[in-house]
Amino acid sequence: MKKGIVFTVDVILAMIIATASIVAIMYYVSTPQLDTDKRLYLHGCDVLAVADLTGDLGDALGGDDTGLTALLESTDENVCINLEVFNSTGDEVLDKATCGAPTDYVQCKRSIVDDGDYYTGRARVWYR
Amino acid sequence: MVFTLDMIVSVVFFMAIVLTMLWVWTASYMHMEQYNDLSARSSRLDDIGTMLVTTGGSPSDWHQGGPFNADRILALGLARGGNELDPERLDRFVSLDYELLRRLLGLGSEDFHFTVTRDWEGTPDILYEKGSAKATSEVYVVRRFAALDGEAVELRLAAYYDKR
Repeated sequence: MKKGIVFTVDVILAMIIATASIVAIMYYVSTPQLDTDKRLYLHGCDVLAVADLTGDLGDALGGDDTGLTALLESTDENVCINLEVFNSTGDEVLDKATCGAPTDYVQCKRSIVDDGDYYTGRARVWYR
Repeated sequence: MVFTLDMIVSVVFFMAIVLTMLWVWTASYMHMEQYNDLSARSSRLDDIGTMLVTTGGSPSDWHQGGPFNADRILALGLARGGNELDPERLDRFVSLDYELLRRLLGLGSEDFHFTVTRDWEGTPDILYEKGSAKATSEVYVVRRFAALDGEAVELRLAAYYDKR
Protein backbone atom coordinates (compact mmCIF):
# COMPACT_ATOMS: atom_id res chain seq x y z
CA MET A 1 0.00 0.00 0.00
CA LYS A 2 2.75 2.47 0.96
CA LYS A 3 4.81 1.44 -2.10
CA GLY A 4 1.78 2.17 -4.28
CA ILE A 5 1.40 5.69 -2.87
CA VAL A 6 5.09 6.46 -3.25
CA PHE A 7 4.91 5.31 -6.87
CA THR A 8 1.85 7.52 -7.54
CA VAL A 9 3.51 10.64 -6.08
CA ASP A 10 6.54 9.86 -8.20
CA VAL A 11 4.43 9.65 -11.34
CA ILE A 12 2.49 12.79 -10.44
CA LEU A 13 5.72 14.72 -9.99
CA ALA A 14 7.07 13.40 -13.29
CA MET A 15 3.85 14.30 -15.12
CA ILE A 16 3.78 17.79 -13.61
CA ILE A 17 7.36 18.41 -14.67
CA ALA A 18 6.71 16.99 -18.15
CA THR A 19 3.55 19.08 -18.57
CA ALA A 20 5.27 22.24 -17.35
CA SER A 21 8.11 21.63 -19.79
CA ILE A 22 5.75 21.08 -22.71
CA VAL A 23 3.73 24.18 -21.81
CA ALA A 24 6.90 26.27 -21.57
CA ILE A 25 8.19 24.99 -24.92
CA MET A 26 4.86 25.60 -26.67
CA TYR A 27 4.62 29.13 -25.33
CA TYR A 28 8.21 29.87 -26.25
CA VAL A 29 7.64 28.62 -29.80
CA SER A 30 4.49 30.72 -30.19
CA THR A 31 5.95 33.92 -28.71
CA PRO A 32 6.02 36.66 -31.36
CA GLN A 33 9.51 37.44 -32.61
CA LEU A 34 8.94 40.73 -34.43
CA ASP A 35 11.25 41.29 -37.35
CA THR A 36 12.58 44.76 -36.59
CA ASP A 37 15.56 44.68 -38.98
CA LYS A 38 13.41 45.88 -41.87
CA ARG A 39 12.27 48.97 -39.97
CA LEU A 40 15.81 49.74 -38.83
CA TYR A 41 17.05 49.42 -42.40
CA LEU A 42 14.33 51.74 -43.73
CA HIS A 43 15.10 54.22 -40.95
CA GLY A 44 18.81 54.28 -41.85
CA CYS A 45 18.06 54.69 -45.55
CA ASP A 46 15.60 57.51 -44.84
CA VAL A 47 18.06 59.47 -42.70
CA LEU A 48 20.87 59.03 -45.23
CA ALA A 49 18.63 60.10 -48.13
CA VAL A 50 17.21 63.12 -46.27
CA ALA A 51 20.68 64.23 -45.18
CA ASP A 52 21.76 64.08 -48.82
CA LEU A 53 18.65 65.70 -50.33
CA THR A 54 18.47 68.60 -47.86
CA GLY A 55 22.16 69.41 -48.32
CA ASP A 56 22.99 68.71 -44.67
CA LEU A 57 25.45 66.01 -45.69
CA GLY A 58 27.17 68.32 -48.18
CA ASP A 59 27.41 71.04 -45.53
CA ALA A 60 28.90 68.55 -43.08
CA LEU A 61 31.49 67.51 -45.66
CA GLY A 62 32.29 71.20 -46.00
CA GLY A 63 32.80 71.51 -42.24
CA ASP A 64 29.38 72.71 -41.04
CA ASP A 65 27.62 69.79 -39.38
CA THR A 66 24.91 71.84 -37.61
CA GLY A 67 22.10 70.67 -39.88
CA LEU A 68 23.24 67.06 -39.88
CA THR A 69 23.49 66.99 -36.09
CA ALA A 70 19.99 68.45 -35.78
CA LEU A 71 18.65 65.87 -38.23
CA LEU A 72 20.24 62.93 -36.41
CA GLU A 73 18.98 64.17 -33.05
CA SER A 74 15.44 64.59 -34.35
CA THR A 75 15.08 60.95 -35.34
CA ASP A 76 13.68 58.19 -33.15
CA GLU A 77 14.94 58.36 -29.55
CA ASN A 78 14.99 54.59 -29.22
CA VAL A 79 17.25 54.19 -32.18
CA CYS A 80 20.94 54.95 -32.46
CA ILE A 81 22.44 55.93 -35.76
CA ASN A 82 26.02 56.20 -36.94
CA LEU A 83 26.43 58.06 -40.21
CA GLU A 84 29.73 57.70 -42.04
CA VAL A 85 30.91 59.00 -45.40
CA PHE A 86 33.84 57.58 -47.37
CA ASN A 87 35.57 59.22 -50.33
CA SER A 88 36.34 57.53 -53.64
CA THR A 89 39.54 56.01 -52.26
CA GLY A 90 37.69 54.50 -49.30
CA ASP A 91 38.96 56.90 -46.65
CA GLU A 92 36.47 57.96 -44.00
CA VAL A 93 35.78 61.68 -44.27
CA LEU A 94 32.80 62.00 -41.94
CA ASP A 95 31.68 60.12 -38.85
CA LYS A 96 28.65 61.23 -36.81
CA ALA A 97 26.94 59.09 -34.20
CA THR A 98 24.14 59.53 -31.68
CA CYS A 99 25.35 56.70 -29.39
CA GLY A 100 28.44 54.66 -28.68
CA ALA A 101 29.80 51.89 -30.86
CA PRO A 102 27.23 49.30 -31.93
CA THR A 103 27.51 45.59 -31.31
CA ASP A 104 24.70 44.48 -33.60
CA TYR A 105 23.37 46.79 -36.31
CA VAL A 106 21.63 47.11 -39.66
CA GLN A 107 23.23 49.23 -42.36
CA CYS A 108 22.15 51.11 -45.44
CA LYS A 109 24.49 52.54 -48.08
CA ARG A 110 23.99 55.34 -50.58
CA SER A 111 26.07 56.85 -53.35
CA ILE A 112 26.56 60.59 -52.93
CA VAL A 113 27.90 63.23 -55.28
CA ASP A 114 28.95 66.53 -53.70
CA ASP A 115 30.72 69.33 -55.60
CA GLY A 116 31.61 66.87 -58.35
CA ASP A 117 33.22 64.40 -55.95
CA TYR A 118 31.93 60.90 -55.43
CA TYR A 119 31.30 59.56 -51.92
CA THR A 120 29.72 56.54 -50.32
CA GLY A 121 27.47 57.12 -47.33
CA ARG A 122 26.78 54.46 -44.76
CA ALA A 123 24.16 54.60 -42.01
CA ARG A 124 24.47 52.00 -39.28
CA VAL A 125 21.33 51.72 -37.15
CA TRP A 126 20.60 49.80 -33.97
CA TYR A 127 18.30 49.90 -30.98
CA ARG A 128 19.50 51.83 -27.95
CA MET B 1 -10.34 -1.57 -4.05
CA VAL B 2 -6.80 -0.26 -4.06
CA PHE B 3 -6.44 -1.09 -7.75
CA THR B 4 -9.74 0.68 -8.55
CA LEU B 5 -8.82 3.81 -6.63
CA ASP B 6 -5.43 3.79 -8.28
CA MET B 7 -7.03 3.44 -11.69
CA ILE B 8 -9.56 6.21 -11.02
CA VAL B 9 -6.79 8.55 -9.93
CA SER B 10 -4.77 7.60 -12.99
CA VAL B 11 -7.68 8.19 -15.38
CA VAL B 12 -8.56 11.53 -13.76
CA PHE B 13 -4.96 12.60 -13.90
CA PHE B 14 -4.62 11.44 -17.49
CA MET B 15 -7.75 13.35 -18.48
CA ALA B 16 -6.46 16.45 -16.69
CA ILE B 17 -3.22 16.21 -18.62
CA VAL B 18 -5.02 15.73 -21.96
CA LEU B 19 -7.37 18.68 -21.26
CA THR B 20 -4.44 20.84 -20.21
CA MET B 21 -2.61 19.95 -23.40
CA LEU B 22 -5.69 20.82 -25.47
CA TRP B 23 -6.07 24.13 -23.66
CA VAL B 24 -2.41 24.98 -24.16
CA TRP B 25 -2.62 24.00 -27.82
CA THR B 26 -5.69 26.19 -28.39
CA ALA B 27 -4.13 29.11 -26.52
CA SER B 28 -0.89 28.77 -28.50
CA TYR B 29 -2.79 28.54 -31.78
CA MET B 30 -4.74 31.72 -30.98
CA HIS B 31 -1.53 33.38 -29.93
CA MET B 32 0.04 32.49 -33.27
CA GLU B 33 -3.04 33.66 -35.17
CA GLN B 34 -2.93 37.03 -33.44
CA TYR B 35 0.77 37.32 -34.12
CA ASN B 36 0.32 36.48 -37.81
CA ASP B 37 -2.43 39.10 -38.04
CA LEU B 38 -0.26 41.70 -36.27
CA SER B 39 2.72 40.86 -38.45
CA ALA B 40 0.71 41.07 -41.69
CA ARG B 41 -0.84 44.43 -40.77
CA SER B 42 2.48 45.86 -39.63
CA SER B 43 4.26 44.65 -42.76
CA ARG B 44 1.52 46.02 -44.99
CA LEU B 45 1.78 49.43 -43.35
CA ASP B 46 5.57 49.40 -43.84
CA ASP B 47 5.03 48.65 -47.52
CA ILE B 48 2.47 51.45 -47.86
CA GLY B 49 4.93 53.87 -46.23
CA THR B 50 7.67 52.81 -48.65
CA MET B 51 5.28 53.12 -51.60
CA LEU B 52 4.31 56.66 -50.60
CA VAL B 53 7.79 57.95 -49.76
CA THR B 54 9.89 56.37 -52.49
CA THR B 55 7.63 56.14 -55.54
CA GLY B 56 5.62 58.49 -57.70
CA GLY B 57 2.78 56.04 -58.01
CA SER B 58 1.48 54.11 -60.99
CA PRO B 59 0.77 55.67 -63.39
CA SER B 60 3.27 58.35 -62.40
CA ASP B 61 0.94 61.13 -63.57
CA TRP B 62 -1.93 59.99 -61.36
CA HIS B 63 -2.04 63.41 -59.69
CA GLN B 64 -2.41 65.34 -62.93
CA GLY B 65 -5.41 66.11 -65.11
CA GLY B 66 -8.95 67.11 -64.34
CA PRO B 67 -11.48 64.82 -62.68
CA PHE B 68 -9.85 62.04 -60.71
CA ASN B 69 -10.27 58.62 -62.28
CA ALA B 70 -9.63 56.01 -59.58
CA ASP B 71 -10.02 53.12 -62.03
CA ARG B 72 -6.71 53.87 -63.74
CA ILE B 73 -4.74 54.08 -60.47
CA LEU B 74 -2.61 51.03 -59.71
CA ALA B 75 -0.64 52.54 -56.82
CA LEU B 76 -0.34 55.87 -55.08
CA GLY B 77 3.02 57.52 -54.58
CA LEU B 78 3.96 60.93 -53.25
CA ALA B 79 7.59 61.20 -54.33
CA ARG B 80 9.19 62.68 -57.40
CA GLY B 81 12.28 60.68 -56.50
CA GLY B 82 13.36 58.42 -53.66
CA ASN B 83 12.57 60.19 -50.34
CA GLU B 84 11.86 63.47 -52.15
CA LEU B 85 8.19 64.34 -51.71
CA ASP B 86 6.29 66.16 -54.43
CA PRO B 87 4.02 69.04 -53.25
CA GLU B 88 1.72 68.54 -56.26
CA ARG B 89 1.16 64.89 -55.44
CA LEU B 90 0.64 65.73 -51.78
CA ASP B 91 -1.94 68.40 -52.63
CA ARG B 92 -3.85 65.97 -54.81
CA PHE B 93 -3.55 63.18 -52.26
CA VAL B 94 -5.12 65.15 -49.39
CA SER B 95 -7.85 66.49 -51.68
CA LEU B 96 -9.12 62.99 -52.46
CA ASP B 97 -12.05 61.34 -50.73
CA TYR B 98 -11.08 59.55 -47.50
CA GLU B 99 -12.85 56.29 -48.35
CA LEU B 100 -11.34 56.26 -51.83
CA LEU B 101 -7.88 56.80 -50.38
CA ARG B 102 -8.36 54.00 -47.89
CA ARG B 103 -9.25 51.67 -50.74
CA LEU B 104 -6.38 52.83 -52.95
CA LEU B 105 -3.89 52.42 -50.11
CA GLY B 106 -5.13 48.89 -49.54
CA LEU B 107 -6.02 49.46 -45.90
CA GLY B 108 -9.24 47.44 -45.97
CA SER B 109 -11.29 48.05 -42.86
CA GLU B 110 -8.64 50.08 -41.06
CA ASP B 111 -9.03 53.80 -40.52
CA PHE B 112 -5.97 55.94 -41.07
CA HIS B 113 -4.40 59.24 -40.09
CA PHE B 114 -1.84 60.66 -42.47
CA THR B 115 0.39 63.64 -41.69
CA VAL B 116 3.43 65.29 -43.16
CA THR B 117 5.10 67.39 -40.50
CA ARG B 118 7.95 69.84 -40.46
CA ASP B 119 9.96 70.39 -37.26
CA TRP B 120 8.33 67.32 -35.72
CA GLU B 121 10.63 67.26 -32.70
CA GLY B 122 10.30 70.96 -31.88
CA THR B 123 7.06 72.80 -32.59
CA PRO B 124 5.31 70.44 -35.01
CA ASP B 125 4.09 72.16 -38.15
CA ILE B 126 1.62 69.88 -39.94
CA LEU B 127 1.87 70.65 -43.64
CA TYR B 128 -0.49 67.96 -44.95
CA GLU B 129 -3.10 65.93 -43.15
CA LYS B 130 -5.77 63.40 -44.04
CA GLY B 131 -8.01 61.47 -41.68
CA SER B 132 -7.87 61.72 -37.92
CA ALA B 133 -6.80 59.74 -34.87
CA LYS B 134 -9.31 57.12 -33.71
CA ALA B 135 -9.96 55.43 -30.38
CA THR B 136 -9.49 51.79 -31.28
CA SER B 137 -7.99 48.81 -29.51
CA GLU B 138 -5.12 48.53 -31.98
CA VAL B 139 -3.00 51.10 -33.76
CA TYR B 140 -0.03 50.67 -36.05
CA VAL B 141 2.23 53.55 -36.97
CA VAL B 142 4.85 53.94 -39.63
CA ARG B 143 7.19 56.94 -39.53
CA ARG B 144 9.28 57.83 -42.54
CA PHE B 145 11.61 60.73 -43.16
CA ALA B 146 11.78 62.57 -46.46
CA ALA B 147 12.72 65.87 -48.02
CA LEU B 148 10.09 68.39 -49.12
CA ASP B 149 11.23 71.54 -50.89
CA GLY B 150 14.72 71.03 -49.48
CA GLU B 151 13.54 70.59 -45.89
CA ALA B 152 13.40 67.46 -43.76
CA VAL B 153 9.85 66.31 -42.97
CA GLU B 154 8.30 63.38 -41.19
CA LEU B 155 5.61 61.36 -42.95
CA ARG B 156 3.48 59.55 -40.39
CA LEU B 157 0.80 57.05 -41.25
CA ALA B 158 -1.25 55.49 -38.45
CA ALA B 159 -3.73 52.66 -39.07
CA TYR B 160 -6.49 52.01 -36.53
CA TYR B 161 -8.67 48.96 -36.05
CA ASP B 162 -10.48 47.02 -33.35
CA LYS B 163 -9.28 43.52 -32.60
CA ARG B 164 -11.78 40.77 -33.42
